[in-house]
Amino acid sequence: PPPPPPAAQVLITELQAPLDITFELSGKTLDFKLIYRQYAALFIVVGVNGTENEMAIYEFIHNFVEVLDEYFNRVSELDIMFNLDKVHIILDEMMLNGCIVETNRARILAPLLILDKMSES
Amino acid sequence: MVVPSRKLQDLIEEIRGAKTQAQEREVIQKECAHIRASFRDGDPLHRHRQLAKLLYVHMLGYPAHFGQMECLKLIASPRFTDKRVGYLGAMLLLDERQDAHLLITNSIKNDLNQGIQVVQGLALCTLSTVGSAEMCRDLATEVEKLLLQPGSYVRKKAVLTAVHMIRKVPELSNIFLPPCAQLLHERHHGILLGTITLITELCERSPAALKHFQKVVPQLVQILRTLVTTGYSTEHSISGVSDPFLQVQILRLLRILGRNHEESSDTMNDLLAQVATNTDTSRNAGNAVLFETVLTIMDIRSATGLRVLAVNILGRFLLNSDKNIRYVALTSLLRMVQSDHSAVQRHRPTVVECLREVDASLSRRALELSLALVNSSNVRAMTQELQSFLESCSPDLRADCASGILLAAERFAPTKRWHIDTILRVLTTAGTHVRDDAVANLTQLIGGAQELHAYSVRRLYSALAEDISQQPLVQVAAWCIGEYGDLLLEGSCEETEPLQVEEEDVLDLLEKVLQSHMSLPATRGYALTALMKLSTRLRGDNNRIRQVVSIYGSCLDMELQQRAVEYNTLFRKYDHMRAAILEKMPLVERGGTQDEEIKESKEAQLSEASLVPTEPQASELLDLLDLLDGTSGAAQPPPPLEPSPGDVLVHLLDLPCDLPSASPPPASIPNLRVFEREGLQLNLSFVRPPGTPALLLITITAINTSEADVIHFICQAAVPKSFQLQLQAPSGDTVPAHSGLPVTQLLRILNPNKAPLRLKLRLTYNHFGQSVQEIFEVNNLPMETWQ
Repeated sequence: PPPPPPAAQVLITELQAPLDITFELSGKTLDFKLIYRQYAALFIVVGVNGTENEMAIYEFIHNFVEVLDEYFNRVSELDIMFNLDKVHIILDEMMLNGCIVETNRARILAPLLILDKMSES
Repeated sequence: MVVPSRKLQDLIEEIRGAKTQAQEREVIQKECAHIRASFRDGDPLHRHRQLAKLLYVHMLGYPAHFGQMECLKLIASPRFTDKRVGYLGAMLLLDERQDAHLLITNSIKNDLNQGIQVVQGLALCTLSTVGSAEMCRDLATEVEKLLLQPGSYVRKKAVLTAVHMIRKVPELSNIFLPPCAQLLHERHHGILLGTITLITELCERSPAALKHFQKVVPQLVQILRTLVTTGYSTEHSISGVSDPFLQVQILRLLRILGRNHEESSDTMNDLLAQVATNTDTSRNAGNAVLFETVLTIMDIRSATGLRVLAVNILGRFLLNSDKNIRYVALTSLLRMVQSDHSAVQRHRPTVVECLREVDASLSRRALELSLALVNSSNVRAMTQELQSFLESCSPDLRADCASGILLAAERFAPTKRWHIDTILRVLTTAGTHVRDDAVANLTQLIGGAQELHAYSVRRLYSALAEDISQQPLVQVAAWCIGEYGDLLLEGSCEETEPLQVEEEDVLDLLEKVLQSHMSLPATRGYALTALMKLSTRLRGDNNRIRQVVSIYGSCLDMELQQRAVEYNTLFRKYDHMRAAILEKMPLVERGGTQDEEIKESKEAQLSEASLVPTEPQASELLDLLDLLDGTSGAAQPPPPLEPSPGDVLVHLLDLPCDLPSASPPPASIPNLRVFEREGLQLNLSFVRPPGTPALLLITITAINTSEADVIHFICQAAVPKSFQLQLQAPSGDTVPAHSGLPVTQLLRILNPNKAPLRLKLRLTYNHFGQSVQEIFEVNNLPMETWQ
């Protein structure tokens, strides 16, 4: 079976971990790496398998945060918590089943902004 | 009564307001009960809100499986908000193990076909996350259609959905391979990114696809070149690098295409060098691209100059202030150290610097890399560095470092003295962390270096005098003092400072070790034995030693007590033998005896196994074991039973009845396998007893390797009229399964005219519940049977 692609993001409030972790998942050991970035009190963690370029994922995390920043106007942890569905939409625009789709901020936010406008009117 | 449902925001606020875990659970349980009731009532207006709340609760870790059917209903609804939440719920709550997931196939199909882009996007997203093999097969054509239609929003998603489909159902690669060529010409980066991922997936799965796509390497090179050389473009640049994600993907694909393929690798060489030199490395994005380039260079068939460039880039990474880049560089260098050893060696000083890292995972990587870089020319310097690291490093790394140093010392030690010194230093610094066989290794090493006995014993004595807590050190020191105590006491040794040691001091020290509560029982054993040996080495009288030994005769530890009692007896009753018993030990062979034992047991097993088949090759081993007296290859024919009724020819009985088991036949005739069917094998073995030239003894052996027994087995034989045949009773009529005890039957054939032998066999038996009858003539009878 093919190795699992970069897993979906997990938002948690506390993490102390080195960069490499081996996971026990349903009895099998899977070799996962955790790549995380800390933004004040918020950690964004991405789990990837061995073949991914760690630095590129690092960059991707920052890209994601920048998109959130633009949408929420200086995003904070509370913004994410209270607007979880919107965050999911943004994430789904950027990443499909673990593969990066779109990294251009304008294109990612376009459908969401249209939706917002429609629901307001 | 309909309780008005709360908004998601309110729920979140309440959950966050809960002060304790129990309170939170209470709030959530109450809300889940509301949600369940609402689902039961089937309220379509607020369903999406309920599901949204349920998903939030699910994210916190509470069970949410009762929402699965609601996802289906929401997906089927025409409103976008419903669909949105429904699909999200499907992605989060459903997976292949649930039966419900198949039910959304139809909804997805409908949504894919109607033209609203956002809805199509949603459906594709869900399909690529939870799509099972059946779903993929059903919807493949829809996805392919979407691949080719003009809107870029849906297209980029369709391409990645194709990636997922290929992962689930590899046969679909045939559908998705042709559009790739056209998709590569797109300018939209999202589509390009997806296409590259798709091609990567195809190539990883099938070598035929790999060959097919090696033709597009020039095109890929062109795309990458444009990316690298065009200036700043607002659309895609991230900290000065234009679309690093696309660059990284292309580089990864080039890596797969160029692996083991000279032609593609050549095409890429220039481009890789260009990327490596032109990329701006001040920010992380550039470093990411550079890192991928390095990985690609290492994997394809690149020129040596390029490989050196790659290693140098990694070396530069090591000097970067960002910890992550250093980490990544260390890991990659470790992968490369085997293949490009000399190139990595050039960065040895930087690697050694990294040993001083504060971060534990970095210093661990640096340690592994440093150990891999030790070779015979730099071993002294490296060991020096590693030993200073050992003194200051964290406890969990100590064990690895110590064993690493010891291993390196063993492989590359320039002199024995240096080797002993190194091990000594490791033992004093990190004695408790060394592996168990370090003691044995060191004693063996010292024992073998005769010229260094005096030196070693002095060094060890001084070390022991300072500190008796490190057990391996104490054990080795005690052993040495015991063996070479005389060398310790006599005068000076040129290599160390003059050390005047009195007998009393030595005995004091050993007694201290014996009495110390830090000493392990094994260490005490060493010390006691050393004391005993000293009784012959020292010139003074042995009263003190005798005293100590008799005290330990009543020690609570069994091992010590036994030793002490035995030594006591040695003093009292066998004093005349004491000197001989306590002589210097001969050098112990390291590991040699163990290997020989294993070899011997293997040989014994081999010869036992070969007793069962009756092949002439087994004869040598059989001779070795000498179990059968004298047969070489021929099976043991059963002793002749009472002659079969009828056909007893008089002159047969006149022949001297020479049992073949008593005398070895002059020439062994090879055995013949004459029949095989469903695991039942029939072998013939021939014996021509020397005293009777016209007689041929054939033993028919029936072996059953199948699962079921063969029952009612009867074998009959027929020969031409000029021969005389006597068939003796078989050993049994059941051939047991799984190669159990074979059935044998003896045939005696008299051939006075020395005519060519022809033999026909008829078998009847029951096997697997069916009765079988076989009649066949034995061909290929060797000439020796009748000549």
